Formats: sequence, C-alpha cells, structure tokens
Amino acid sequence: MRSDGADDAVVTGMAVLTALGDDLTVFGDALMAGDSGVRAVGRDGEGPPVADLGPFAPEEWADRFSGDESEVRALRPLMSRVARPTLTGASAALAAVRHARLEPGWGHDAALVVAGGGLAQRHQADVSGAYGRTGRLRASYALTALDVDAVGAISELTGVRGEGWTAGAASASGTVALIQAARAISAGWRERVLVVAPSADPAPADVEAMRRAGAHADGDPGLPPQLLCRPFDRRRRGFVRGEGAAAMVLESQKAAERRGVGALARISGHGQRLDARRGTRPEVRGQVEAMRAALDAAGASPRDVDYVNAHGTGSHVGDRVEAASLRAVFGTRSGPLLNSTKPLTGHCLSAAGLVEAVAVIAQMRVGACHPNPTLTDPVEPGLAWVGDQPVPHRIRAALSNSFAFGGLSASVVLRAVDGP
Amino acid sequence: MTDEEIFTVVRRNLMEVVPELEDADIRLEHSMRELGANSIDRMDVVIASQEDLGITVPSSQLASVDDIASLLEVFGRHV
Repeated sequence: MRSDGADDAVVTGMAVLTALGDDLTVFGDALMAGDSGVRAVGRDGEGPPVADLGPFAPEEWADRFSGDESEVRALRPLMSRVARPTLTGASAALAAVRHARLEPGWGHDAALVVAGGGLAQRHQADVSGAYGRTGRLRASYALTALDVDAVGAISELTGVRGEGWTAGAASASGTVALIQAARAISAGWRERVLVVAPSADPAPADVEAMRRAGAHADGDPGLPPQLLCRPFDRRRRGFVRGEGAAAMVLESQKAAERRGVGALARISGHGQRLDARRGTRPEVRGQVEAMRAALDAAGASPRDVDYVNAHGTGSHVGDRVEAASLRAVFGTRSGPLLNSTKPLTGHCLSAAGLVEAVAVIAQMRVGACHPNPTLTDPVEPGLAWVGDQPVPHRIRAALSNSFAFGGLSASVVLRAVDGP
Repeated sequence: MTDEEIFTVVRRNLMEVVPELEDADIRLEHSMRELGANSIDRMDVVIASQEDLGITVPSSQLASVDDIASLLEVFGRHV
C-alpha cells in the first residue's frame, strides 16, 4: 500500500443490523445517546443478558429491514431455507448495495468476502439435536450448515460473480474480512468488493463455554443488564454478547470517481499479527505490532490518530492487555480519544469488527465520539477514555482494533475523506 | 390413507420449504420446479413427506416423477 493513499480502498456504502437499530441514522443516534441494546433475556426467553435482534416473524423481518418491495421479495424465499446468519448477512448486504447506489450489473467482476467461521452454530446444534431425537433431517442441511451458504445466497441476491469466500478469524473476522477486501482493491485485483459480516449465532453450549473460559460475563445481580458490559472499567465482569450484522461496499478511488459517488471514508492502512501461541490469552506484543503495522501502512504516526475504537470487550484479561498495548503505542499524554462500541451493541463476535468499522465512520461523520456509560473507573486513568458523555471531536484518522482467540490481532486505519 | 391426505402432507411440506407459495397455488398438475422449488428444495419436500407418511421410497422410483400427481401416485403405492 502506498502512503500517498492513491490506491487505498474507499467505502461507498454501508449497513448495520444491531439491537440498536437497523438504519444508519438510528444506529448513529443511538450510539451518541449511549443507548445499550443489552436486555436481561434473549430471543429464546432465557439469559444470560444479550443484545440480540429479537424474535421475528419472517415477513415482518424482511419488511423491517427493507422498505424496498423488491428487496422484500428477494429476501422472502430465504426465510425458511437458510440459517439465521445467512438471512441477516443477506439483509445487510442488500442495504449496503442500496446505500452505495450501485448500478445493475455492478457485481459481474466484483468480489464478495463474508466474515466469520462456524457462523450457524445454533442451527447446527438444533438440527443435530432433532436428528438425534427423531431422525428427521432436511437434505438441504448439507448446504445450510456451511458458512459458504451465506456466500451463495448473497451472491444470488446481489449479483456478485467475480469471486467469493469466507474469512474466518473468530472475533477478529469482521476486521480481517475488511482488510482482505481492502487488499484486493489496493493490489488492483478487484475494483469493487462487497464485505459482509453476518450475525454470529452461537448455540447455548458455545456461550456457556465462553463463560467458563472466563471471557463471557457471569452476570451481576447488582447491575442492570444495560450496565453489565463494562470495557476498561475496574468493575468489568466479562463480555456481553451482541447479535449484529454489517456490510460495506469497498471500491477503488478511481471506480468511485468514475461513477461520480462520494466516499464515506478511506481504508488507509492495516496490520495483522499472530502470537505464535495457541490459546485464549491475548498478548501485548502481537497487539502493539498489529497497531504499528497499520499505522506504518497508513503513513501515520501515533500522533496523527484522533480516535481509537478498541476491541474492548469487558473481559478481565483482554481489557487489561489491550490497555497496556494502547499505552505502549500511544503513550498517556494527549493521545487519541478511546472508546469501545461493545457496551452498546454487545460483542457481535465474528461481526464485531465490521459493525465497529461502521460505528467509526458514523462517529467521523457526526464529529463526535460516542459515550461509554459503563466506564466510570478506568483501568488506565492516564489514557483519554470517553466516559459517560459524548465528546465533540474531529476525527481525521481512526484506528479500529479486533483481537481473537488463537492469538490473532488485526488493526485497521480509517481516514475521513475530507481529511488531510 | 387417501390421496387427499397424502396431498395434504406434501402441500404442507412444500409450503414450509417454499414460503413464498400460497396454499391455493399448489395443484396436482404442477411440478415442484414450476412452483419455485429448486433441486435441494424438492429433496427437502420429498424426504420430509416420506418421514411424515412413515414410508421409505427408493430414489429409483422417484426418478420418473414429473408433477405432484405422479409424486402422490408413487407415495400411494407405499402407504
């Protein structure tokens, strides 16, 4: 990637579906208000607290996520045929394509990158359970169990034909998928890439295992569910799960200019590192190196960064390590403003990185950082945390972090299009 | 079991797999393909209907099925 930005990918369309809203304006307003989507029980009527998309009747779902009758007609056949992540991914993809104002036929040579691996864990558990009990099994489970069913369905709905695949990096999937898309454009392999992060849908055993691993919150009778997810706060209890999907249309600067559309932001640099150690425990070294690699690729120094969207899940170890990494990269004096979107959306797991990239651009465009209502007693008081009120702030360059089990670190630098 | 009862089972499974279908759309002379069911959808309908009817039909006997009437005829030989 050149540091002059000439071959950077630009974002020309985006969409989110989260507990905070399925419309960019509603989502942005909810972020600035510091609203939390976390509720005491999920759509199955059971805890632990979660910020999910709620129960839905298929028709209502399609109508709610799209006022466009042609999109509703396109989504309807998916309703009873695919697992929930494919449905949310397809909905977000259609909304992002609409937002980018792409012309028919645009997808012929475009690429599709779907973020996540093992997306439909709940579907797999449900079908396997029913098969064990009753022997009933749809032949189409051969397809719906696969992550790549989302690729096929989104390709069918959007007309993307160039290439398509899934990028699985656990909780860093959304950011890693965004990076792969930006790379394909910077390298000149593709002019346009649709990046889609379907909602992750873990089964009860998956969620319970994350709790037993010490990552997921234990619950706290003394805290309302909206205050349970507390990134970087000394009273943090672990992460609270969110269910969210996001999608972005990335284009080369030239391709966007040729069709006369403005960009929402620029993907200016990115970095990825492995800890070369299997496990759930994060390490400062990999995180610091990923952030520095992203800044180097963007031709930016730490001083150029106005804002950091931290991975910040609210887990005991994860936040402590990330805070130390942030201090190593940015120092403690006059550094960037920092927040985490997860107290509001919940931790959207494989979709988190892309949901948060949308949140970064939303904050850039508003000119303010959203509050973190649960951050009252920060672990690193010397860092410039955004507390319980929004902070007006010009964001020319932002860094967004995603880290994952397996020792994965991924960071991306986004720049405002009218910035220097 | 009457043909009408078998038809009811097939129709229910068809509407479950192809949610955009209305009950009245489904007639005996239709092929499932005409009704919007692709190859994997048709397998889902045929398998679920056999499970509901408590029958197992060798796939060789289903090869010649070209409309819902002929599917009911094959199923009828096994119930």
